[in-house]
Amino acid sequence: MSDAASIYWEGCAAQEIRFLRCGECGRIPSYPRPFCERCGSHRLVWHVSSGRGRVEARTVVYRAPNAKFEPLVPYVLLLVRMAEGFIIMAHGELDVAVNDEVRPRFVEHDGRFLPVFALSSPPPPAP
Amino acid sequence: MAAWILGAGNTAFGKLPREDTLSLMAGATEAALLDAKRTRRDIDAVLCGYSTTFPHPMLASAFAEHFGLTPTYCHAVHTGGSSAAAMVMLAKRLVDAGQCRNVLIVGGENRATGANRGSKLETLASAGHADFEAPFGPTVPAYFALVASRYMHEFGYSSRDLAVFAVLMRDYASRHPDAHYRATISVEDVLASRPIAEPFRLLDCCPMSDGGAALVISDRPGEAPVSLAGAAQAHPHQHVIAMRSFVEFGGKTALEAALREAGADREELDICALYDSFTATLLIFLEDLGLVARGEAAQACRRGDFGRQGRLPLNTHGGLLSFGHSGVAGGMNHLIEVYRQLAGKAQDRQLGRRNLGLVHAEGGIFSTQVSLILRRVE
Repeated sequence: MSDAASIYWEGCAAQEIRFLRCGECGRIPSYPRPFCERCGSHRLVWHVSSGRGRVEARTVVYRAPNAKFEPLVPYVLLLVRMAEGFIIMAHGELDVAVNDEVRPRFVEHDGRFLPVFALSSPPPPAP
Repeated sequence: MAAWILGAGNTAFGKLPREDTLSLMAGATEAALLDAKRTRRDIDAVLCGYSTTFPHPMLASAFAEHFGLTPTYCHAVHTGGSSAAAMVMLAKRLVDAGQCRNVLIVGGENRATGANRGSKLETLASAGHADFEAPFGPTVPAYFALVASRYMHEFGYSSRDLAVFAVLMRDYASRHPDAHYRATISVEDVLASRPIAEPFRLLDCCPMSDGGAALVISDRPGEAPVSLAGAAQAHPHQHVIAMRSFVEFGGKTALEAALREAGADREELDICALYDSFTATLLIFLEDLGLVARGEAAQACRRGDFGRQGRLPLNTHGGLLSFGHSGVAGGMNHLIEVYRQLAGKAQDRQLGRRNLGLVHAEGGIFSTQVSLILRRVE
């Protein structure tokens, strides 16, 4: 695993979503790596996300890629756009839909803590 | 100098437990040489893709030796599902430049019977990002399903809208003797098939097939002259987490450059073949390439626009969804079918005379896109 990936996953173990921002041009790389994909600077600084996100895309996986994920089937796979503007892949609760406002909790699976997003505020009770 | 498609060949697609990668490549090549009226000695270049069931690091030279070819130019090309289209683009440039005279392009793989299910799913999903995607257990259907979920949300599409494309592909495949799946299906059949990755059910997904396909690209036209009039690529990203947009996929950049090279307009296209790993892939490409307006692809399909009598027949061999998918050869069938329709070689499937065809392919998750314009020349 790259150093940037280790720091990202250590963040998840500490219940936070970490991201890099370029110290020169301010861009957030589409995923953590040791340089800025736009200006090329190596002066990147780690930050911690507010945890607020919006669901960009959602699927429910019924057929797992390998034995490690078979016990989780069916599981919700999300792309979440965090309030700071970057997108991450994550898991979600079954009732989460595209465009919902969500927040993560962190659930251990196969030696990592995966962000699992749930609705920020539960929907109002049906009338 | 101009580059021409001189001939094409394919094996049957489906479950062929007696075949392997090299035998499928050889079978397709024999058929393509016969169609092109060329012999082994005429082939001075070999381009091939990859095979997940035979991951040889030098597949092109391994095949050339196996089949009995001694080319002066020979290597593999890997761009995932668009490998065949990328190889045809390269062959055109090699012929245009005078480097080669008769280029063999070949793919083949026993993807259905040559590996167990677990290793297949894992190998294919390994195109995902190892650190930031794979830990969440995505599959290839799941990657496309994510993209589809956003697109369907933006334009109000339902699972029923996706299903009409599965039905159309099966209708076309029912006319092709070499197709993997030929029994016609209904929208209800698609909706009743088992869920794979929402919104995709089994019949929204292409199968894994055994099969081979080959083309001969030449500096001289054949009896039914079909030229490679334009070719271009676009590479907007590799991973879904790095996609810049879930509405614009970059295919238009490639298509417009290919049309410019061909000196043609989109409106002149009278046949097309678009990569159709999933029903949503087809729907998205129709709209992203500007072949129909955003939000109108399913309606246009129901209206018959992409059928045999429609304005733009689409994947008339049945596509990956029903003709079948064996990796590189699966993507090559789109090219072969458009060639055959333009050359008048499509037998029972032959439409009326066709003049200008588009083939658009992608590898990854809309990651590596290739547009090719084929023209029937008198």
